[in-house]
This record gives sequence, C-alpha cells and structure tokens, in this order.
Amino acid sequence: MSINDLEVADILGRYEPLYKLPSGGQKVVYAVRDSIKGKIVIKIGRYRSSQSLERAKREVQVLSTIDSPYFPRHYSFEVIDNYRYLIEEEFINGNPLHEHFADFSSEQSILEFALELVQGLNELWVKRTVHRDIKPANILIAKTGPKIIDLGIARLLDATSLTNSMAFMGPCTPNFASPEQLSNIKRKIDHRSDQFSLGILLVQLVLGGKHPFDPEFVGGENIPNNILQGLWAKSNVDKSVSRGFGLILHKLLSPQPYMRYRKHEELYMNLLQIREEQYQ
Amino acid sequence: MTKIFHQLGHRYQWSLDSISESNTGDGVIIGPRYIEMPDVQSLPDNIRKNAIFDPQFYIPQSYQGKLNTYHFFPQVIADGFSTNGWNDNLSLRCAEECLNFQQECDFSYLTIPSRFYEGMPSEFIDNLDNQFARPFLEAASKIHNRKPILLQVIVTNQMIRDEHFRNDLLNWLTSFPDVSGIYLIYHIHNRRKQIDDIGFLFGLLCFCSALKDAGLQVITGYCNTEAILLLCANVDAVTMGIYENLRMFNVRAFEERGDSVIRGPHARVYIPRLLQWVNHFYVDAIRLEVKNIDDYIDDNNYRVAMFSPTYNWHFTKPDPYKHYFVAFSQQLRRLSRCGGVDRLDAIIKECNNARREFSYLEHSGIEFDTDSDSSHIPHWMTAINQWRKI
Repeated sequence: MSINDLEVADILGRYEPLYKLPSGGQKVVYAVRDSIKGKIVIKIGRYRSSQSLERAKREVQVLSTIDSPYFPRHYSFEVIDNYRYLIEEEFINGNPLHEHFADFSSEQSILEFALELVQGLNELWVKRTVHRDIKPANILIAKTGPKIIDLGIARLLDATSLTNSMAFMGPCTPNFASPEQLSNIKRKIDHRSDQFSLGILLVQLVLGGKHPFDPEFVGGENIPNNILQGLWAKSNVDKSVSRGFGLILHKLLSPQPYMRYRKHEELYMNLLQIREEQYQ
Repeated sequence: MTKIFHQLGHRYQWSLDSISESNTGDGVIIGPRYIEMPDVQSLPDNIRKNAIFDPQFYIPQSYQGKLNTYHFFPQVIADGFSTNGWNDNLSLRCAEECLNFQQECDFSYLTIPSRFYEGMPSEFIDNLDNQFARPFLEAASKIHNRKPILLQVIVTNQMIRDEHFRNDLLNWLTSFPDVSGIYLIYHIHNRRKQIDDIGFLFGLLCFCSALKDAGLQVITGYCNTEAILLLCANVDAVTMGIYENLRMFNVRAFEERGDSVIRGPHARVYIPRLLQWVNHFYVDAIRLEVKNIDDYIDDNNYRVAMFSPTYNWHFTKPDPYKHYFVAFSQQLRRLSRCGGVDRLDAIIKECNNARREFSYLEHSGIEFDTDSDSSHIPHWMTAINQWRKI
C-alpha cells in the first residue's frame, strides 16, 4: 500500500522539509533539516503487515551495525500510528552513478571503482546480508567516494526470507537482477546474487553506460529475458578490457551462482591483483 | 599431489599396519560403524591428527554396529530418532557434541555429516541444509581455534546425471564461505563392482572439477579403482579400503538387518596394469601367458605370500588387501605427481595400456568373468573424452 504526502504531513512537521527524493515501494523519502542533526534523509513508510514491518526493521538492523564510509549512517527507527514507520539517516551529498558514467572512461578508473564497491559490499556480505538491488541509481557518487544506498530490500540470510514465495520474481530491479532473483529461487539468493548485479554495473561502465544485456548488442526480447538466457555483450567487453579484468567480469556474470566467487575476499584480491599487474 | 586416505572399517588394523609398514597412505577416514568410541579416542596421536572422522549419520535411526557407542548419534541423543521428533534443539545439541568430539580428538577436519536419500528427492537440499549444514555451522562457530570444516554429501547416480539437480547441489555446496571442503560419497543404484554408468562418471568429473574451481577441497570416499579416474578432476584426496563395502558405498550396511547370512565374495587380486581386481582363479592362467608374473602383478612383500603354491585364497585373508594398498598407492602417487594436462595424458595412457594388456590376455585364451574383465575401461575413456571437451 503506497503512502502519499498528505499522509505524512504530521511527521514532516517535525522537521524543516527541504525537498523530496526519489521514492518507491511503500515509502516516501525526503531531505529535511533536523534542529539537532542538521540535514538528514527521512524515509516514511506504511507497513501493511507485520511482514513489511519486519522488512523495514531489518533494513534498520543491518544499517545500525554498519559504520562504514560506503553506507549512509543510520540515526533512528520509529514505529508510528496508522501503521507507519519513520527512518532517519545521514544525508549523502552526491549524485547517482548513472549521472557519472562519463567519469569512467578508462579500465583503471573502473577497476578502482570496483575495488571500492567490493570493499563496501563486503561489509554487508560478512553479515550474511544481500543488498539485492545493486544498480546505478543506488550508488551515489559523493566527494569522499561511492555510497551504497537503499538497503530496503536487503535481508539477513540467517533469518527466514521475507520474500513472497508466490511472487513472480523476488524484490529486485529486473534489469539488474541475477537469474536466480528473476526466477525467484530464494534458496539460491546469496552474496553471489549481488556479485551478478555488480557485474552488470561494471560492464555498463566499460560499455560507456550501455546495458550489457541490451537487445541492441545481443538480440533477444528484452533485458531480463537476456539475463535468463545468459546473452550479454561478451565480445564487446573482451575487446575493451585487459584479459585479467575480463575474466573477473565473466565470472561475475556467470549464470550459476557456483561459478561466481564463493568467498568475497577472493573477488577483492583478484581485482587488486589485476590493478597491480596492469597499473603499478 | 592427491592424498590417499584409508577408509577404515572391519579389520581396520590391517590399514593401520599398512600405513606404518609400507607408507601406503596420508591418513585415514574413521567411521563409527565398525569402531567403538573409546577405540577411536585411543588411536595413536599421529593417526588421529591425519584422520577425518565421518560421523556416518547416513541413516539416523539406525542402531547398526557400534554407532550406539557414540553419545551424539541421532538415534542415541534423541532416544529413538524420528524425523517428526527431530527439532532445532536436538539438531544443535547433536551438532555441538559431534563437533566437540572431533575437535577434542584432534582430527584434521571437522566433518558435517549427511544423511542418505535414495533417487533425487525435491527436498534433498532443504533437508540437508536445515538438519545438518545450518546447525553444524552454528555449532562450529562457537569452537575456538577450530579445524577446517568438511561438508559431507552423499549423492546418487541420478543426482549427478541430472544437470539441473547437479547445478542446484553445486550452488548449495558452494554457498558456505566457512566450509573448506566437500567430503563426497556416491551411491550407485544396482551397481556392479565397477561403475558402468558413463553419464554418472562424466557428471562426477564435472561435479568434482566445479567444486575445485570454486576453491573447495574435494575428498572422495569409498573409492574403488575409479579413484584413478577422479585424479583427472584433481581431487584433493581419494580412498582405499579393505573389503568391498569400503570401496563401494552401500547404505545397506547401515540399515537394521536381521541375522541374514551374507555370502563372502571370491578372493581377488588387484593388478595395476589391468586397472582391475581380478578373481584369483585367473592368476595361474595369467602366469602362463606373461613373461614375468612378479613384474606383472606388482612385486611387493605381500605378493610373495600370495603366490606360494600352498596359499589358501580367501577374501578374509589380509595379504591381497595389503598387496593392493601398496600397488594402488604407488600407482596413484605416480599418476598424481603429474600436473594438469600431463596427468590427464598419463591416465589416458594407463587406460590404453590396460586395454592392450587385456586384449593380449584375451587373445591368449583367457576369458575373464564380468567382474574381472576390461569393460570398465571404455566407460572411463568415454567419460574422460566427454569431460575434456567442456
């Protein structure tokens, strides 16, 4: 059940509203000024069931244990009347990655960026948490480096999944989802699903912003279908990057999770090794 | 280099003797079915340090053999195991006690057990995940300075032949960053002494090499001579065992049985050149056809006893097994010293040589029975040829 601006007016009244940020799902997001914390982001959502409240709590639980330059700092979580909840978190001064595609014109710049993202994602993965929605819109480029946002659909792998098992596909953005997310095979979704989305994002940088599974490159009906079929612009990538980096990208975009990186440290070490071999 | 483990069972002292007298193995795999708990605890330090303990929860409701001397065996800890009564608390308690025992004994790994399922049931992965992997990993996380973790899985030929099922299994087995290796056991439905299921052999090579590519150690249990084939996939360890029940996994040995009489097999001798165990009836015939039987059968101390005219062949006598341990371990070590493509070429050459030797003996008039003949070699070769294409 979506929530509109009128329904959150009383909560907004606590702050000095600045502007609305891209919102989605069951919540609205604003940049506001708090009298004590200064400029912050608030997310107001409505939980229709205890299940969706659990989802929000889970986002908070994960965020509250992370103290990292790669994620916004979490301030508070509050359950409010009329099935609403409020999350306060750090305001990140930055623009989404897709507005910065032109900054990544060399393999070295993409490699450096990949190292930073993997370092950030490692902080989720060691907590057995999957982001499940890695895409350019959820990576903000701030002065201090990339920030990974919107853990709203992250889940703790150790807990029972929140995903509706009857849903056609799990919570994800289809154009950036792994085959197992698109097929909604819950048991298969783990940190390696994030690796697949990361692979799409990195190859997109290699291709100057074009999506690697776009029918423009490989034919097919649409991007999600091509993801399921394993059709992507392999040869375009192989021509554009070093062999070592190409192998990493191929491994990230492997159709089966077991073909990707079992240990996240291994992915980081592989990237580091390529950087040392190629650029130092 | 691939390690060689002795799969211990009945008469396990012969294996221990072979290791100390002839250096035929790098370690042992201990199973409670044939060894009581106090006997395991009192094994020499050097044996325990190089041992893998297989808890053998294959049939958790079994009381077979010496399993009930282990306080953590499901049937014992639950005072009568039943799937309905098996809950999270019991799983965790069982896991904690089983792993603490392994850690205290100073075995080289902590093994997460598995149970046996026939065919390829749809709930296979979920059940293993809930009943074994999760509780045991939780228990392992509480152990200070813990040994590396092995996750056991018992597959059937159907599971391995089916690519979809195999992929699902691989996705599950590779999903635990804390697991260092897989202890793989395969059960072949209605098998002969040699595995004649080419689809299974091909799938097994794919399965093992995928696990290796994922950075997992692969230890294959209950191996017969196909251990040589598994060297192609660069597995970390293969096994040798005394009786056939230690070289061919058969869950029936763990089922409750009445006092039915089990007939013993014919005594057989392992001939490295033939890559085959041959019924002892053929030894004299082979002796007439080859120039030097010593060289042919493999000249080690145990051969001398076996080829005495007064030797009374019987499957319960130690010499053929001790001979096999020496001959087979030398063969495995020689082949596994080669790496990569050289190893594959060496194994193919070994297979071709065996085919030639069989052909020579058959042309000389020896008609081998189906358990002693060369029919497994084309199956191995086909599996290798298919596997090397991918």
